[in-house]
Amino acid sequence: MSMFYQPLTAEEAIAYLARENTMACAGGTDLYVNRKHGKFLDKDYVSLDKLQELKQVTKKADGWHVGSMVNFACAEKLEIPGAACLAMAAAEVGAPQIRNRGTVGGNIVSASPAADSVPALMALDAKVMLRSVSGERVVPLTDFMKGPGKTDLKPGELMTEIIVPEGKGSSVFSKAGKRNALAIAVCSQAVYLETENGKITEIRVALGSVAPTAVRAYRAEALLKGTEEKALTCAEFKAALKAALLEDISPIDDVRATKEYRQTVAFRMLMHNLSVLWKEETVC
Amino acid sequence: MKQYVGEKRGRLEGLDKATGRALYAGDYRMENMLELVLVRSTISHGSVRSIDVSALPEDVMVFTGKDCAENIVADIFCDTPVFAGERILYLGEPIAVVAADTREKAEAAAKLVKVEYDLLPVVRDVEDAKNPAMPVLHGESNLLTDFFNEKGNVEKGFAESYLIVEDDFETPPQDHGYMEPDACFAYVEDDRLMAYTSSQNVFADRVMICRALGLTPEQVRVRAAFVGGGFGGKDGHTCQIYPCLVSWLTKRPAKIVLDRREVLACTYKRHGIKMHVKMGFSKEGKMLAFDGSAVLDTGAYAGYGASVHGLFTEHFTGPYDIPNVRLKTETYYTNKATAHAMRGFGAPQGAFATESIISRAIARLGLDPIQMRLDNALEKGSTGSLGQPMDHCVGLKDALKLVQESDLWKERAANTDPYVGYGVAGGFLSCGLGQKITDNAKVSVQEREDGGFDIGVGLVDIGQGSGTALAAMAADLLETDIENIHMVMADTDKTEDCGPTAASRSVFIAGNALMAAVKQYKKAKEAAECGIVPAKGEAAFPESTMDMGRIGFPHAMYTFVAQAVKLRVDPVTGSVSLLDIAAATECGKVINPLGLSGQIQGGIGMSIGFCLGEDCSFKDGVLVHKDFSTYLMPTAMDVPNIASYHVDAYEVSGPMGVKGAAEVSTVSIAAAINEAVRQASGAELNKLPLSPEEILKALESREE
Repeated sequence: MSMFYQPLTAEEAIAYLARENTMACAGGTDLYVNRKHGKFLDKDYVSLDKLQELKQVTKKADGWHVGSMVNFACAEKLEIPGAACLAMAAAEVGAPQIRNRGTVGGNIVSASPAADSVPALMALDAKVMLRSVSGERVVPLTDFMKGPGKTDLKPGELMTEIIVPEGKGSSVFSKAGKRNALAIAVCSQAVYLETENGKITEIRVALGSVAPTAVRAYRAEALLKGTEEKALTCAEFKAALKAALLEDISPIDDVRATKEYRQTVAFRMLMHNLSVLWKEETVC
Repeated sequence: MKQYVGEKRGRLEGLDKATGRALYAGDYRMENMLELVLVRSTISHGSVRSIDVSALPEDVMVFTGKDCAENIVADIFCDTPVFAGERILYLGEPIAVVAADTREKAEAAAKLVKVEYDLLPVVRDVEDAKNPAMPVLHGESNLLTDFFNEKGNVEKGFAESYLIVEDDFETPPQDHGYMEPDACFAYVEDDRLMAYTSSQNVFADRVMICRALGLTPEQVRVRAAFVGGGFGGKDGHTCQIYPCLVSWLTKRPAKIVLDRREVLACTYKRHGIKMHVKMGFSKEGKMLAFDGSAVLDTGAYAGYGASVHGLFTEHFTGPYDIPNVRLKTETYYTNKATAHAMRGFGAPQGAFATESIISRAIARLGLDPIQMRLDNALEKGSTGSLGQPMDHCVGLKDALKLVQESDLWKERAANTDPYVGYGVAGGFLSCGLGQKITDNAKVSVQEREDGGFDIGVGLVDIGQGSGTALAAMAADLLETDIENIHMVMADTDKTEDCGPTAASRSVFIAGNALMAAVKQYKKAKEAAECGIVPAKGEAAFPESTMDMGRIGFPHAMYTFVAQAVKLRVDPVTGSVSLLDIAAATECGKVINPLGLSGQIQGGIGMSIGFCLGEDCSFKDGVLVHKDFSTYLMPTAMDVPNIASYHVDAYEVSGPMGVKGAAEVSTVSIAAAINEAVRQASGAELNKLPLSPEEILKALESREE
């Protein structure tokens, strides 16, 4: 028989998580389905539901600290400068009922390659704060994600915060799903862009559902850095950019879509997102 | 006196459903109740060599075919066992049922039942079914039924045609997706078996239960609980016999509620169909010839396969007056969950193919999509595709004109967005069970001591609103307030057999019987002068005057629709966003306009799923999309505004002018969507669900 602990402070939660065979339970939207499929039935659960301190969003010197228990209903209303992609991704999660329960921290730790918030946070260069009885550490999100269902979370650790640096640029999130709600992404993409004098000075592109984890498109980013908008209309540049992007990602055929479709969409999304952001940058 | 017929009215039972007071079969519980879980086959084709239950705890019981008086589901064909054993024909076929104090215990125990099998090659699809080297599932061949007919001279029609368009089309099986999973609750009281079922026909339930358990009809009472949708999928055996068997043998109450994954994998489906349509047109767009062939996949057992085959064939050409028509259709058994009745009953599949061909012809001839359909539409006095006379109320032209005048269609000319498309399609569906099938009803009117009336109708209101419609009719006929009308429905002790809730027949057949009963009541009341007089009235559905020697078709009347859609194709992903829908229906006199709108919107929602998301295909006998995370039914975010218009019409054979309307709503929208997608993307798609990948490919090639 499983135990179900419901601590009132993070301190207490960490103490429970130090025990053997425990796992944290955030919103439970994934756990509910997993249990139905016979997974994690023998675990003791440490509910994070009552941890008010993990439901806060505060601005600090190193950026915005988003509590891991901030749910998507709250995240979709966040107005962090330069981080519109996070709110947009949060608004694409499941349906209202799931957004009321599901949390940003839970989304990261579940480590689905299709998680909506992870590409957004990766494009924002977010870091995660991990606490355990033996101390705390901060890990860049790109290093934290290890594979489908796998992260760098060590036994006994609790993800308490996600640190989102404030940016002076703008960002956007797109998702291809097979219906308009309750759809698992077939391809998702977040882009963060800064320009100066008509040239790209900073660009970060992250994609979901096209690799074992959400991934940054470093090769495509390198090509884009320093370019002007009109380069995007040049067929040669576009071909090189597409080739770079396809090297950054490694999609597969599955029950939802083919590899080729994901590749096509990933590139069309990038062109679309760049044009959207460029418009925003010129207006500002 | 207030008139209820023709007035908008919410459901009589709406508040009970919204507040949770309404009890569905799975909501019943009693002291000492057993909960049941089925042990299902893990193979698609073969036989059971042995069943080992030695690992089960002592307080759990197991029942198999040996516990039945007769291991047969008594339906039309009687080809389905209650429990499979000697022959397993689909993955997930019930082998045994486990009974325990709790569902959790029963689920755990079901997993401990060890079944050993002997395997046979799997008949995966109709190609396998036709292959003489493959096993035969029933009788002498895998062919369940076939049909061939030629009206006029098809080759001459093509020879005279200015344009010929033809193509292959394919639609996958579809799940009904009813909100309430299949369920049944049974108990024994005073030596009688009492059952609450989630079904479309309590009298058929009683027949099946009696045959399997060896009981007489007097020993069994079946009542429909509130039913959370059926759409054809509960017009047969889903699980009713299991709790009845267990309860009768143990004398303890017993309940079964299927899991959603069981519902998706193992219960009835809409038929997957492969079609070829060839049509010839004059330069002006007159339809001159139609040559259609199709192969239907009916799965493991006959179910209503032969009937669906008939209606598919009858409706394949669409509601048009075509002088030369050839129809060749075949239906085969395969090792899959049984395909059966589903709202629209074969018509949506054929309409997808035929209306897509018509739309492509219209585009090539440069014609107006509505005017061209008006020029070919059936009207009163026309003959249908089989040569059957259209001598009832035929309002397709009026329905097309309502769409023509809709806001959606009028703004079409002003659109400048290249990714927006507009599509329209016509459709029709027969009412009534069809040629040579008993199609009767008997309704009772009983005056109550409080001055109200009990109206006894043996049909089940499965959520479509027949109870509310019949109550409005009864109130008008008896000249009383609707609050004085008490509907007593679907109870084998208190009502008479009225046949199934199917074939868009309920309000028509029960309405006519109700009118006869009220007449009887008034006559008796006048003569007897005393207060309380029970009265009964009967009705029979009209039959077509044309007899082709076939059971189930043609029909005496049809309901007509015209449906149009505005949509946008996303240039980034190729996915389709529906923006607006206009739907016009001619179903005779409308009893409850609000109820009709609900039916039309619900049916369209269902076919939006059929068109854009729902894919119940099987690979090697195994369902590919096993749950609602990949079997994609539309959500509220996927269904646009649906404007529902109705033609002011009157069918003389119907009660107060009524025809049936429940199913026709599903027929046309998929074809309309397909045409709008073609306009917006250039993609000519022939397979459902429409693939965003194919749409995107078409967009990319248009860009080049």
